[in-house]
Amino acid sequence: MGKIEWAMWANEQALASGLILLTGGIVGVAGQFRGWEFAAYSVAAGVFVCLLEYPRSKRAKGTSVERTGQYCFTVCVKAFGPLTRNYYVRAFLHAAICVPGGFMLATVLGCVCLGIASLIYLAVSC
Amino acid sequence: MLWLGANAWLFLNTFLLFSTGQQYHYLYKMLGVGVCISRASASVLNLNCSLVLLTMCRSVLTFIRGTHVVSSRKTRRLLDKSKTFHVGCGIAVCLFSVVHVSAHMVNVVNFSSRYSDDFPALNLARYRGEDPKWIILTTIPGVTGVLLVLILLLMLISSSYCIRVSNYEIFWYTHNLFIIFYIILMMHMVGGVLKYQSNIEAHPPGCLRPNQSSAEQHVDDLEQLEDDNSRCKEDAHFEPHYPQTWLWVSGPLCLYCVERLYRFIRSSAPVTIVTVIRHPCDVIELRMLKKDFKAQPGQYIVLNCPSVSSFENHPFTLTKCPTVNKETFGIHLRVVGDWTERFTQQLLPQSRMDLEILPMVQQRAYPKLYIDGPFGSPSEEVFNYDVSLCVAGGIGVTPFACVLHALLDGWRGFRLQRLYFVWVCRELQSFYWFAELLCALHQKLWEENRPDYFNLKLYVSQVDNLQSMSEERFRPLSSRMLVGRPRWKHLLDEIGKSNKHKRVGVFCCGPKGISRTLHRLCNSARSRGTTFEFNKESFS
Repeated sequence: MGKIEWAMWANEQALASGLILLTGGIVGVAGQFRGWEFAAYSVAAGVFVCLLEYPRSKRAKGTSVERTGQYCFTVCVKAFGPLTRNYYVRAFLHAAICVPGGFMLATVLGCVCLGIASLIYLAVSC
Repeated sequence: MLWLGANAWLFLNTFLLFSTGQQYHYLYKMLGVGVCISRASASVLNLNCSLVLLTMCRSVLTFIRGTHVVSSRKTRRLLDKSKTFHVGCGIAVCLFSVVHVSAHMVNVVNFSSRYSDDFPALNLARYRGEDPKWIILTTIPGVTGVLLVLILLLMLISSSYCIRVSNYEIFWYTHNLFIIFYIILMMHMVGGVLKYQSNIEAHPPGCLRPNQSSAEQHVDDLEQLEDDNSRCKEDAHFEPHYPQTWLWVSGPLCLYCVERLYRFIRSSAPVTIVTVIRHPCDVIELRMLKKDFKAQPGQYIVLNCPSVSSFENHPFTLTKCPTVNKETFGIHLRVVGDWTERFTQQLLPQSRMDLEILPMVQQRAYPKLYIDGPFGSPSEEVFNYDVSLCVAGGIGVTPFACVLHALLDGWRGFRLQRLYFVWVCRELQSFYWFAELLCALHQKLWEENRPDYFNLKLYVSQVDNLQSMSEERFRPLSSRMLVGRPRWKHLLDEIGKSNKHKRVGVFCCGPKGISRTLHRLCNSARSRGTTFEFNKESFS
């Protein structure tokens, strides 16, 4: 079990939860439900998480497949240096981003998924 | 096609039932079209959840394949593609879950805003305007629904191709959460949220209460409407639905559990390792003995070695089946990946580069091994065609090696009249894995005066550093060896010319590129009356 590379799974999970946050946010804003401000926030948060997580990192062992067109995203992510490259920081960043999503029904699923992704990143970096 | 039709029919049927059915009249008035969509998607989900389990009952599928009850090609292809069907049903479950969840969200909001004072039994909310979040979190269907969605998402995300290829264990362990998924699914319907009206005759929907009067009636018509049709005899009674999910899901779930139990009991019998042979190009041959083990050529087994990893199971195709005369069976495994590396280290403690055969005396040092299977695969059909073409790429030759062993034992008993065997390898050394088998079969057929039965073509795809087989006994092989990649169209044309008006079964086990090209060529029109039927082996 120790040889499993969890980071790839965390990356996939975070990308998917970014998409879910985005969709939930759009639904929340479109329906003008109670607390739609949280939905508007989660639209922005979802877009940010997707951009951050789009580049797939290289595996330590074995072949890695890049996602299509990820080169420009990789440049942006690397430009911020250790703030975005370090998995510890990413874990806390995701944990912080996901909290406001929990206040509205439409975005609560994205919040939980992002929370799980942040836990996996924490497991990777410890 | 049948599956899509079944899904569409179920969806429409339930939708219409809920939107027009009399017993749901009040519910419909309260919740609107949301209830119809949610119930319709729920029935589709029921169907797909049960199908998803059925496609994974491998022993049952092997049994069906073996009984030859399904001789038509379409049903056989369904068995071959059971994993693809499983993935398709899984994706359908996810899609319809999204529909179901969104419709129920709308329902919950409507439950709270259109709280019905007339029919208090129908309500889910405790008072008008109750916060929908609390409705979800305090009812059983709500909480179980949230958990179900979460587990489904976890399973979906970790089933992506990338993760399966890189870290199979993550996929395997998260996918095993399906047990929890099904347990929670069974509890999802408890609580009877959606109710139907049980006394339609006494209380036709839309009838007026004794102390009510319809707003559209004129005063003169009031006496005429005193008849039974529009006055209620009694108040509406509502009863919750019988949980349909149990009917759909419990059958396949029981079948699956029974099958796992059967496989567990069958695999707990110990296996004795008879010989371990090291071949060139990182291939190990393992010969084993197990009591009451029967297998057909083309089937595969799943290996579990507790001293390497207690939970990992790896499939390997049998290269030699047990026969009446000789009970040993064998597999060839290529050392790629950490499990096979550790397994090989336990089998062969000394690492020597040359051919190494360890005698039976050293048996005590072997690790304990458990095998599960055998399971069926498309290659079993090689013998059911008059003419077969077997294309193997590298280690993909293993199912066909078993076929060749069976032919060596007795080729007359099969329907097969001609076999074309094409084996493409990167290096020449790989052909030594089965060089003796190929030569023995060739020799036997020449001596028994059937030289056209077995047509062999070997290709070495690496064009630099050319070598040749120098041994005299492997002469038939070196004379049939070509350098470079095979030209498939020419090959198929050649086979078509010599086998007019016949159905040729094409079996491919190797890299995706080869199998895709072959599939395309087989499906494109053949002019000489020979039809090529492509059977793909999934060697993942």
